[in-house]
Amino acid sequence: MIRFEGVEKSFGAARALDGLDLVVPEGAFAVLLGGSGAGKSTALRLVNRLIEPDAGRVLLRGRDVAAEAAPALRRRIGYVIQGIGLFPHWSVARNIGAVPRLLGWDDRRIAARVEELLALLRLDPAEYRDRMPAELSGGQAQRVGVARALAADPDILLMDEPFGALDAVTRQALQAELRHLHAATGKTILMVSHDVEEALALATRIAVMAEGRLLQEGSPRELLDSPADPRVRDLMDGGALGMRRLSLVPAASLARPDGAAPEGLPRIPAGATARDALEAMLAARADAALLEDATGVPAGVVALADLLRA
Amino acid sequence: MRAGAVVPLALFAAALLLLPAAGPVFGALFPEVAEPLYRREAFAALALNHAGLVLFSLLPAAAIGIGLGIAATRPGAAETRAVADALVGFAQAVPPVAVIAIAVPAVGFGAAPALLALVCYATLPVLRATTGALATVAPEVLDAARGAGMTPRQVLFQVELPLAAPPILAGLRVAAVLAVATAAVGAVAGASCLGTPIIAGLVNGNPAWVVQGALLAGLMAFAVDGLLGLLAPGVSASSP
Ligand SMILES: Nc1ncnc2c1ncn2[C@@H]1O[C@H](COP(=O)(O)OP(=O)(O)O)[C@@H](O)[C@H]1O
Ligand SMILES: [Mg+2]
Repeated sequence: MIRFEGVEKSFGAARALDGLDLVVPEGAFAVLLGGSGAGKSTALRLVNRLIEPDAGRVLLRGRDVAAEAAPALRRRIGYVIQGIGLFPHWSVARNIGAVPRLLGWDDRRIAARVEELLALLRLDPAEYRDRMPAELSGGQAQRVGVARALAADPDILLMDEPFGALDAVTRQALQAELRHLHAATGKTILMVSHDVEEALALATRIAVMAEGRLLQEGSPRELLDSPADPRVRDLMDGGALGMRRLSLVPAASLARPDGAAPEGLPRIPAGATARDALEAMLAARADAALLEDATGVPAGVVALADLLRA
Repeated sequence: MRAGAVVPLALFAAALLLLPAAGPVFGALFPEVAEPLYRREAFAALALNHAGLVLFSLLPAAAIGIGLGIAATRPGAAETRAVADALVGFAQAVPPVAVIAIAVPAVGFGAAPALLALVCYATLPVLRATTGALATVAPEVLDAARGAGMTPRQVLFQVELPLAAPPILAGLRVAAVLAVATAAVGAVAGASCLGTPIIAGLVNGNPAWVVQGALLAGLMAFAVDGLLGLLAPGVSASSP
């Protein structure tokens, strides 16, 4: 659990944080959402003490981060940034092994961990282990950046707009992997984003910030359905409120048994969202879509009218 | 690349070997001079002293320049940086002869004032190269290094210095070539070096000696540039 208590931080005349109170529950995928200059990065960097607060404190599992030496604290917190910041003079393997090396792991253990992480992030170890950062595409470099952050198996992962510089396709692929990673490991993830779609695609909790303060914190659905502030409403709505709501609802939760399903309906995976279902119906000019499990067996039908219940 | 190092070195060695036997050549070139070849000291001994001056000024200059450059680029060292900048500007504005003239009353004649002037001059390119090179390390790389839990010392030695090494070595190369040229001025203060025949030639109206000293000093500068080029490829002090 990460808890911000009355945190204030100024840089000269610029007030970056103006009394931030926020709790990130254990195991959450929390997204700090807000426009540029809202204080998101500042909040994130207080957690691993790259920035020290002027007032207030940050607690990790009830313990003030200031109670621990900063290097030791940072070695048990994963950190990923938009610029990636791979060490350009080190191979991919050496980059990923950076924190384990600082922790004094032996070479065999580091090498094994590097293989494991490369595989986890879908980079063939034999091909990528010895490459230099300059020989990677943007997406590959960011995968290595995520692997490096995960190397020492930290409980907490801090990510500052990690996919901001990537093209849309690569970004979506990495978002999907991050979602799997969170589901598989249960790590607490605190991620900064200015992209509502990204927040809705990933977050279990969203904290909307503006002018150094928290506007509202809640589940994505709570923020969509009952914004507590006009600025939250404008941000979450963005002219696509209905579609965003659909994107949060699994199509399966609106489905009926496929008993009387007509022939020729568009088929979507059982794990698809209601938004995917609508897209499939519109594309096929059909008024329903058929859910099918991984083996192609029908698992229910969603009709156009069912989407109104989302 | 290799040839760039070997050819100047071979030229210098050849000049050092052939010059003592080149009396008739200089006699023909400078018929008005009574003693066409400088014989007060062996050229090899002068060259060795010259190299000694360069080496023993370059080592402290490298230590001071790199050390000051590191100190000036630490976070929160804006004042150190300002002082270093002022130092660079001031020291470059004063000619080497003036440094020697000021130093002689303080440390006496001989090698000491020459070394002092050389250290002053050789420090500047190293300092400038170090601050410049450290400033080019990408901020997100530093952020990642600190975020990974490296101590300031680890950030410096594992990330900043390895990334900044090539330009710093290039700065050392510039400093070394500058030192070879400037060391000749040390003869004014009585330091024995390749400047000695030059000064003696000027004082005694013997241009042959001037040419001999200048030839060897110039070739030594090329040789040093070539040798250090092996360490810092890509940047040549002679063609910046
Ligand atoms: N190191 C810094 N020096 C000066 N001002 C800063 C610094 N970091 C952040 N700020 C200022 O603090 C405010 C919040 O910045 P930041 O936390 O980076 O916002 P966000 O990540 O939400 O875009 C901005 O006005 C920014 O200019
Ligand atoms: Mg930011």
